[in-house]
Amino acid sequence: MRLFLSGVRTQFWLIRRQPDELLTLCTIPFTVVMMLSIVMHAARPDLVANAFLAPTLIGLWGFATGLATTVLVGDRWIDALPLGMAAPGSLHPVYLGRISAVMVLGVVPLGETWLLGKLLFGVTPAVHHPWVFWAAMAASVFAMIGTSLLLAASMLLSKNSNNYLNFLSFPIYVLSGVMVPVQYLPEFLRPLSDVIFLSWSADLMRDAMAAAPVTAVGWRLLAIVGLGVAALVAGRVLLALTLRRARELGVVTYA
Amino acid sequence: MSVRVRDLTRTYRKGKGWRPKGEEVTALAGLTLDVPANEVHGLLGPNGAGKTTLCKILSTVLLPTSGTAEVLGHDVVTGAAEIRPRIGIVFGGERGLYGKLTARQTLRYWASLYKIPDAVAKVRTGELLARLGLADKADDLVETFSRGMKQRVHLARGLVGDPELVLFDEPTTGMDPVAARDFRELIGELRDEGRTILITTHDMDEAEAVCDRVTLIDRGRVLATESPRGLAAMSGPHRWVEAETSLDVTGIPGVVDTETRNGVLRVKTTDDRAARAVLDFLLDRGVRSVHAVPPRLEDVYLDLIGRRGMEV
Repeated sequence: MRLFLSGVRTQFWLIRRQPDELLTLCTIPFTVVMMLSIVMHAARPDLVANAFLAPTLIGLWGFATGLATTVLVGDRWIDALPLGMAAPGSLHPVYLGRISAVMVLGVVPLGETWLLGKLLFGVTPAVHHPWVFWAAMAASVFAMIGTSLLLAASMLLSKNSNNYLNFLSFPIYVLSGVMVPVQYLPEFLRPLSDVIFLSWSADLMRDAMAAAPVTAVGWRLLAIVGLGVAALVAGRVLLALTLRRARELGVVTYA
Repeated sequence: MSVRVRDLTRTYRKGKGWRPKGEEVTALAGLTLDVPANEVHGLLGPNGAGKTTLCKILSTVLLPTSGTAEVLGHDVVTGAAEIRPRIGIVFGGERGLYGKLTARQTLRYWASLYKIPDAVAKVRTGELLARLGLADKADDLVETFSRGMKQRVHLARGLVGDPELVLFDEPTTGMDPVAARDFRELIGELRDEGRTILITTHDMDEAEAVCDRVTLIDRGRVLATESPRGLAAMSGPHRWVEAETSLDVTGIPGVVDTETRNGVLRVKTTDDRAARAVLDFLLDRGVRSVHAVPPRLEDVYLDLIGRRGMEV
């Protein structure tokens, strides 16, 4: 636990001094304006919830791919990784702590979106089931931490990780139903959506904002947390394998 | 014995993939080395000689292909967990530092990775920063530091775990002469505290100044292990003459090589007789600043490794 907390503390120290790492927060207003403009122009108040959710979850994902996922690659770049490998403390909890610190900041786009909606368009979406909404948000942040660890460990294997990170934006937003509900996607794409925790998060949060009763809350939360745990375990295993391989071969990257 | 290495081999495979299957490259070819406790030991060799590979193996971040390596009585493969808390690693240059952390934060982070309790880490961080002359800059960002100061942060980071063995990989890279002198003093202090020091370096003067013994490595093999003075004696019958002159002496029989640095001509000769001939030649032409000098570590290095210098 001490190593985890040390990772959290160190990442906060680093972020505080690197405001450019918070670039995701600067992109949120553009998404908010775009989404709400469309909805307001089309006179579709029923889609206001969607317009608010999209920037919120895109922001969460943006923090993961823009910052959390690059923690390990950054350490490889500055040669801090081999020093860490030679230290007696395990690296897993340290990096998990650093990623968690970033993902806690991933909640900020939620407040930013609400504030911008109110200031620019004078609308605030109703959240009819706040406890479900916040539970889904918390579960999503947890799942995002696990997913980020898996992505961070994967990126470590590539010399050109930025290329892959670029791919992990718009296709994921579409597949996860963040921008458009999954039910509007072609049938053959839906199984893919099911294994992306964000699709469960978007659906549950959308339902939490609607007036109708939310069904199967427990199972849906479990799906988000379960996918997060699966990613967390896979990330930990992949990181362990990558570091073991680095000790055996003397290289970290795969290609 | 702090370090005991026997027939250590390390090969790499070129290529891509999870298990590259390309051409095999040998970094260490049956290297054997002993470093007793409390010794300052230098590893000298050109680029690609295997110095860094050896350091990586001793610091447990790389596994050997064959042979054995023991650090502080533990095998680097089976006893890595016992070794890690007892060693410190210091890189040269800016590698391994977070520019956006302060010196104090850097040490606190690494102290946690060395599992040092917070209260102890706080005290030790302050002590190390004071010792390395960084107390006034403790809360400044590392990225604002000069190279010499960054190197001191590295040193402090390497000592945060209070190691018995400290591995220095090219520690004076980018240091100015004053910082390099301070570094040499620090090495002396670390030895006085009972620590063992292993330094990889290209810098002959540094090796000569701080090392009790040096090992010359080339192509993954040990060429010689000796005290700097003892190693100098390995230059055989060769003799050297130095003079402040621009005269050409290459035509004198027995002159093997000449080199001019900062206006001083250094002549390598085959033996005493040839050195005498060079001295007479220069004195006859009015050169007053001329004398026979003992070989430097660099001369032996060049004799044994050749003039490949920094080539790989």
